[in-house]
Amino acid sequence: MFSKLYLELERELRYNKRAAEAVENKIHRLFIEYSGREGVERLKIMDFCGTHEWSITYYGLRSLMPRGLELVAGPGCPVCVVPSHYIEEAIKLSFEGVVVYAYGDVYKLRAKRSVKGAFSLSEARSLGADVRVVQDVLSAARDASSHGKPSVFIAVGFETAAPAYAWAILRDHLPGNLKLLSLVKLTPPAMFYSLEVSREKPTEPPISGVIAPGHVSTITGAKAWVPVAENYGIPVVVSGFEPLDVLVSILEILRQLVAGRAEVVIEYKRSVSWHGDVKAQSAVNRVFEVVDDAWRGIGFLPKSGLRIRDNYRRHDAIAEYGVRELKPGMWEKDMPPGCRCAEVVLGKAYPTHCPLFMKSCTPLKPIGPCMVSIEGTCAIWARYGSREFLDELAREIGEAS
Amino acid sequence: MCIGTPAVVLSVEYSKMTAMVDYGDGVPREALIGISQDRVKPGSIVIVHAGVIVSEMSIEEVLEQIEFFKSILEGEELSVVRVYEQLLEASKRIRGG
Repeated sequence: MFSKLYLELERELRYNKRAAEAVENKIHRLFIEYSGREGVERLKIMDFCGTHEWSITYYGLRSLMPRGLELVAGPGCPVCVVPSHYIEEAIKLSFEGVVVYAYGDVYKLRAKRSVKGAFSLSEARSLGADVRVVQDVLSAARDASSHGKPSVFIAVGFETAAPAYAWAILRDHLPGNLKLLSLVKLTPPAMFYSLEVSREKPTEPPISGVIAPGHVSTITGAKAWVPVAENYGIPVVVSGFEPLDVLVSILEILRQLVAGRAEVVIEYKRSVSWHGDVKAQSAVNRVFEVVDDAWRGIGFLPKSGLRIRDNYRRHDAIAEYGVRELKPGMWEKDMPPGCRCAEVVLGKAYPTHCPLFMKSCTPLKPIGPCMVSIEGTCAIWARYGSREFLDELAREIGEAS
Repeated sequence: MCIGTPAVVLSVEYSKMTAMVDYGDGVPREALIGISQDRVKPGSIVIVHAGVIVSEMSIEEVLEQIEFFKSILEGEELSVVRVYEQLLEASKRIRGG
């Protein structure tokens, strides 16, 4: 009964054309009112989360926007921002006889330098290393306890994934032979950084509103975004992931802009509360400490990563295997030559601005990190296109003819 | 990384912080409970992300969602609200409310 109703709910949120048209009309009306009054021709709204970017592109929401209202993607794909260094370290471990467990997209993620001929964990596996793809940490724990060999799980993710790792440790789900390589990142510092750089180029309009990540906020609470609204004076709407959710969130951002307000509002009320889940936050705090962390293509962001605390070092791959941590002095731009993923994750460039996009870098043979994960902006645009993608193709055809 | 899949909780093992959930295909699968355990009960609708339950859809939250949609769409008749209301009824029945 539940499943049937939930499917019906999904259908309503995805395919209810009448509701979508009603929201679309309101968006157009408010954009005209705001742009006319403020004298702006272009307005940028950032969708921070990879899943929002997926919904926007898959359902063609950009094509419903008035010309001048741009939806730009932010650094909301945790796989895209894993520095090449840690992938190289994981490949190295796999060649040293450690069983490496990874999510499917981490498995394909390409490093800048090869280790013994392998640029990715998938290539390491082809060369004989024992690398296994899993969907969650419990599966890795079950598998590792069945064979007893030294093993590492590459724990990537944002605040959404962190409670899983924390509870896996606190409730003794991890066998002694399985260690976690924590590469968990925290989203607010990256959002601040994205907003900061969006103001660097005076020719480009700054980000005027943010569609904040829904499931991250189920854990952190919507309150995590108050500093964004207050410090940058822009509306922030915590949104669900169905197309109608995203449209309604854009409408709410415009309503606030027209009214001259800058507040945090929860659209995704069916899942997100103001304070989040305090017990999950407390479990994460018990197991992890907050550190300055490196984001691929971006650099070190203060207090933006989680590492396992000393109390739980018996579960920590960094302590067990002496995995070298990246230090600010070691930082270097770790993008492949020509790749513009660093700008794509900050909303400074569209994938179509990259010379490699869909030429040498494709979902089947990704070069840049944004082309790997289903939540990477380039991978989403490559699969489902966009109005900008079509415009770019039209320009190229025009130039050729 | 916000991909989340809705599921119904079938049973809960509080000592291990795990639950058996059904994603709608009838196959029970184990998931870690990432949120407060008192929010997860048999019959709860939850969102599962990478094997961990990150959210539970409470009746109060669904009611707030309905109100938000109604307010922002200012009088537009929305069948989505009707579905939410049915979902609430079903939830009450399962919980014996």
